[in-house]
Amino acid sequence: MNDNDSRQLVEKVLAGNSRAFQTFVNEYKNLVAHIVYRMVNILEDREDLCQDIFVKAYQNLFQFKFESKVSTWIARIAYNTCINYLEKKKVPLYDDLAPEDTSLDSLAGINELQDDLYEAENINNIVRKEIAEMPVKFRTILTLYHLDEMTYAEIGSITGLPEGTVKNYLFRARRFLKAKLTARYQPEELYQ
Amino acid sequence: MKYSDQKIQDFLDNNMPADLYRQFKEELHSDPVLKSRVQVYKQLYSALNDRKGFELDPKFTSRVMKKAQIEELGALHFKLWHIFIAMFIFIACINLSLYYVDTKTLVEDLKFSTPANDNSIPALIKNLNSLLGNIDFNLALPIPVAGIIILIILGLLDRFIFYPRYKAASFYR
Repeated sequence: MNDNDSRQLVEKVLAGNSRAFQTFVNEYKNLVAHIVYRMVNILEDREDLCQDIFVKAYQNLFQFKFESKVSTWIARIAYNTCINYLEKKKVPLYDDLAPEDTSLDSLAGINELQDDLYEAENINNIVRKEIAEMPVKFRTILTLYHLDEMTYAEIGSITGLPEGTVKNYLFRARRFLKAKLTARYQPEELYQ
Repeated sequence: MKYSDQKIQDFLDNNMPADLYRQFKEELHSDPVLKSRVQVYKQLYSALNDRKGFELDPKFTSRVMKKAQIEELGALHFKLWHIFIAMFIFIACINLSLYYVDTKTLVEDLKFSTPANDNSIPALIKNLNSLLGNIDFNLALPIPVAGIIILIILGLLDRFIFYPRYKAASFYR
């Protein structure tokens, strides 16, 4: 959806067109789900949070001045809603990544994980599990960059981090995941 | 290692100057170690782009619509409650005013209203002046003034604080 279409859609929603709001929800629900599902690990609360985000967006839509994309604006609401939720749940928000540990301790589970691989079906599941254990900010940045194809500037505007920090976090998160993968698999196992 | 992890990520993100990108690509064909490192990252990127597990319930949109409409009803309810409070304050002000007004003289003056002059409007108008003249407003005056100030404050709150929250028009079908 281009900027002009987004503007028209927002104007229709503000005029009270319920079909336009349905379209709005359908357009942005994947983006909201990506953010919420990555930031919040409690399964039962995820959909409620997604619903709350759209209700908040509906109530505050008149304040949207088209200074950014609608997707960036709604992603910011989603991000802030999740941060508030996590703060209430006392989830640590400012942790850093664990060291990229490929020592014997971290490799001890290789055989189990090799067996686990059959159950987990593929590397994607392993990566998903590793991401779920990362600090919130790293998870969010990975998601916004890879799933929602946002730029560093857009991610910075959503998370309130400078562009350089976004780039640095993204690099470190991917290097961390690569280290986890290479610790578990031989390179040829990863050639698919 | 000629290329750091940062450079490999920049290459895969297409975030490299054109000449460096070309050079990297050439070396990728001739350097099996670099190729292997890039392959690992490619596999990781593929996993990061996987959208599995993010699916919402098929009824999600209709649930959001319902929730938004309930919030609207909440807003309406809030406004009615608001009107109720305003009316309550207004009635309380009237009652308090009457409590402090010297109503005895008022009742005395009303005795002028006999069946004989009930139909005489000019006479009533003539008496009205003396009726109002006998009321002691000194004690009662601050109360309705306070009531009016409260109403103005409520009105301003409604206009500038409560109303904007629900500025989007109600859904129409």
